[in-house]
Amino acid sequence: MSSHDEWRIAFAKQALADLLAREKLLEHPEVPDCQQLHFLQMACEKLCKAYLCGQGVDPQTLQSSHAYISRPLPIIARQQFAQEARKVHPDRSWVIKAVRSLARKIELLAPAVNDAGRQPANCEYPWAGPDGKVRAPAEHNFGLDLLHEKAGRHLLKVLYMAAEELTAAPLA
Amino acid sequence: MNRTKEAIAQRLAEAHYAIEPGIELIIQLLASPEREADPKETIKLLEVNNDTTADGIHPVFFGPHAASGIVYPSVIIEVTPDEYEQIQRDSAKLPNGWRLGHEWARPASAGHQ
Repeated sequence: MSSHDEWRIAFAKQALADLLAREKLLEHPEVPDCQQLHFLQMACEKLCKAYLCGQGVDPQTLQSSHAYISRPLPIIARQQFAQEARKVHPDRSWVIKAVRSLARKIELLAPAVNDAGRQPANCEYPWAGPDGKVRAPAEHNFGLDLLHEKAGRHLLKVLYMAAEELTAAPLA
Repeated sequence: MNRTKEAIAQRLAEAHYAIEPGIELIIQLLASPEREADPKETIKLLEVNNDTTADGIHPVFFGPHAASGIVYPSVIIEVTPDEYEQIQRDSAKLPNGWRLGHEWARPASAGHQ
């Protein structure tokens, strides 16, 4: 049977691959925004699932849900801050609050997560808006730009550091 | 630096309080005494957070981070105050037979929301 560590590392490697694909897409401004956001959402989801693999968890049951970003991601970011410095500066508390908000926005990019139908916009499939008009993700402005979002760059740093840390060393 | 599991759990709890003012309370979770005696057994913190969402108990697992002195693996479970009340009523909601242990109070220097 595969160990939790093997699953963690495999999820983290796929997260890194998704982040790399996102970077490549960003080099081509003609590609609609939804494509790089799709890879961002998938990277976050896989990274979070990597951290959810552990004692008492069947990694295969994690595969089926897309709603695993908004809670674990701020915890992962916070742990990194706790590891970074022996003395944590309380004035950085705004970062975690902003990461929470961003994590929820990213989670909602998956078509299966739609806030009970209130947020149908997603990166993959067309949806019908409240006015009945059908919208395509390729033409939609998601209003999510990590370079300009509050804490967006912190979040990217967290994603890369966490994925690289996991692929470099197992849990125990 | 004190590298006992207790000391490192306290350090993690204090860092989390300092970083996130929405945390109301942090409780250390305990496995069986035999497991807790094992140096590889994780530090387990249950964090009651007003800013999180109520969507079940999902432990997040971290490896040790020797460079920062966190020499034990750790697990963080974040719950809302309502979810914590449910756990207090029925600790079987916690996974792996874990039970509620010591409460780490918010240090005065960490501020509050």
